[in-house]
Amino acid sequence: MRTLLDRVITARVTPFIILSVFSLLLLFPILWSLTTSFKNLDEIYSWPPTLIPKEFSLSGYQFSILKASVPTYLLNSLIYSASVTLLVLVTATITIYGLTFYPYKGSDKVFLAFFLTRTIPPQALWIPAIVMLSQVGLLNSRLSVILFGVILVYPLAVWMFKGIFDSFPREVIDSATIDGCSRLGALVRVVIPICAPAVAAVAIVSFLWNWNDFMFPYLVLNDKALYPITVGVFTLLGDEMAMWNALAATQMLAVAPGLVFFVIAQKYITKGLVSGAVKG
Amino acid sequence: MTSREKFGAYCSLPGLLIVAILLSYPLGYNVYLSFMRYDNIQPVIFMGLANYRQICGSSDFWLSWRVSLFYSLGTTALTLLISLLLAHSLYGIRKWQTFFRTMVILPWAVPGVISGMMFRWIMDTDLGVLNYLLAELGVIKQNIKFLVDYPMLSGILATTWSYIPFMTVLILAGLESIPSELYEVAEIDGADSIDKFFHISLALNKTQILIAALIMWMFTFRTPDIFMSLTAGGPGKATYHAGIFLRDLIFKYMNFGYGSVVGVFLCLIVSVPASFILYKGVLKNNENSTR
Repeated sequence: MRTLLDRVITARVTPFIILSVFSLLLLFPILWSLTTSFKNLDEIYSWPPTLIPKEFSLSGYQFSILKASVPTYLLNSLIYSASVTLLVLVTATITIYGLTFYPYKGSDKVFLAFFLTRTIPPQALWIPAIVMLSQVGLLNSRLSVILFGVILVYPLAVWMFKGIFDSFPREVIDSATIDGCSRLGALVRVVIPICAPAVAAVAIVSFLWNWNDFMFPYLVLNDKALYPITVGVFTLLGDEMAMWNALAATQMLAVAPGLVFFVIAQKYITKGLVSGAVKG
Repeated sequence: MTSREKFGAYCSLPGLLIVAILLSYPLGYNVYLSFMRYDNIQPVIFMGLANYRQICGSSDFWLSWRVSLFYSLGTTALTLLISLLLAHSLYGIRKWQTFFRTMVILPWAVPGVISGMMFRWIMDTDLGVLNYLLAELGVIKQNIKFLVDYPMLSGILATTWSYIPFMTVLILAGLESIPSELYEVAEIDGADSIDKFFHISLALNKTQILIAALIMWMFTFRTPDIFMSLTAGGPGKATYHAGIFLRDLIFKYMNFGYGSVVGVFLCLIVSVPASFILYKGVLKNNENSTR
C-alpha cells in the first residue's frame, strides 16, 4: 500500500494530472461567466445550458455599458484604487525605509505597531468611520472611500515593503549618501529604481486589493454616480436579477484589470506578496 | 539623537499619522461608542454596559458568530488541504511551470462579491451548469438546490475557490526556501516520498503554513462579501455571517451602539490571538533565523 502510494506520488505525470484537473476547476467559474456574457437571454434561460454560445451576442455588454452605467463604476474604481495606491506607496516607502535603514530608539516598537495593524479587522472600523465621516460631512463622498482604502491597504504595504527593504544591501545606500546623495534622495534615486519590479508588485497588489473591496463603499455611498464597480455589480444583481448575461458581462469587465495584471506579471506579484506575508 | 536617528524618526511620521488618525482613533472611538446609546432616534447618552448586556441576549448575535466561525474554519481547512496538494505539485514540475502558476493564481483577480455571484449562477437549481454537469456524469438524478439546502457548503466552496491562489502561493514560497540537499540526504537514508513530505516539506514549512492559515482565517472570519451576493445571509439565517449582522445593525436597525459592540468583539476574537501568533511566529522566528 505504502509503496504504491509512494510510486503514485513520485510518478512524473502525477503533478501534471493534479494541476490540469485543478486548473480546469479554478478557471471554470471565470470561463463560465465569460461564455454567459456572450449569450442572449433566450439561450441563458434554455435547458440544457450550452458551454459555448450558439449565437454570439453582445447584448449583455450593450446593457452593461450603455444602460447600467458600468463605465462610470469602472472609472470610479480606477480613481479610488489609483489614489489609494499612490497615497499608500508614498507614505509606506518613506516610513519603512526610515525604520529599516535609520533605526532610532524605540523604532523596533514602532515597527511592531505597524506590523500588527494587519490583524485589525476593517469591519470594526465601519461604525466609527461612518460616525466620524458624517460629523465632518464626508459621508457619501469620494474622499471617504479613499481614506478607508488607505486603512485597508496600508498594513499590507508595510509588510511587503519590509520584506523588500530587508533584503536590500545597506552598503549601496551608504555609498550613495557618501557620494552626495541626500537620504531621501537615496530612496528615490537608488533604492526604488533598483527595487522597481518589487515596488511595482506592491503597487499592483495595493491597487487590486482596493479594487476588490466592497463592503465599506457599499455602506457609505448612496449616490450611484460614486459607486465603485464592486458596489455597482452588486446593486445590478439586485435590480436586474434576470439579466444574467448583463451581470456576467459586468463581472468580466470588473475582473479584466486583475486578470491582465496576473497574466502579465504573475511572477513579480507573487514574489511581492510572499515577501509581504511571510518573510524569510 | 544623531542626525541619522532624527531622519529615521521623521520618516516614521507619515505612517504614524495614518495609523493614529485612520486606525487607532476610530478603534478607540468604537470602544467609546459601544458604551453609548446610539440608535439614531434618541439622543446619544452614556449607557455603561447596557449595549453589551442587550446584544448578548440577542440570538442573532450568537448565531452570526457561530456562522462566521464554522465558515472560516471550514474554508481554511479545505483550502489548506487543496493548496498543499497544488503547491507540492507546482514544486515538482519544471515544464509548463509559468502556465500552471498563472492558472492557479487567476481566481485572485476576482473580488469576493463577484465570486459569490459567479457561484450563485453556477449553482442555480434550475439553470445552473453544476447541476447539468453532475447529471451528465450520472452523479445525480434530480437537480440539487445547492443554495437552499446546502448554503453553507456552497459558501465554503466558493470561498475556497477564491482563496486557493493566496494559500498556494504562500506554501509554495515556503517550499522553495527549503534547501534541496535535505531531500537528497533523506533519499540516501532510504526515506520515501511520504517520509519526505511529513518530515521535511511539512516540518520545515510549519511557520509559513501557520501564518498563511491564520491570515486566511482572519479574512474569512470577518469578511462577508461572498455571502452578500451568494446567499444574502439566507436562506432564513443559515449563512448569517457576523459581517452581515453588522451590516444589518448599521442599515436596517441603525443601532450604532450595538454595532460597536460587534466591532469590539471582532477585535477581541481576531486581533488579540492573531497578534500573539504573528508576534511569536514571524518576528521571533526571523530574529532567530536571519539575524
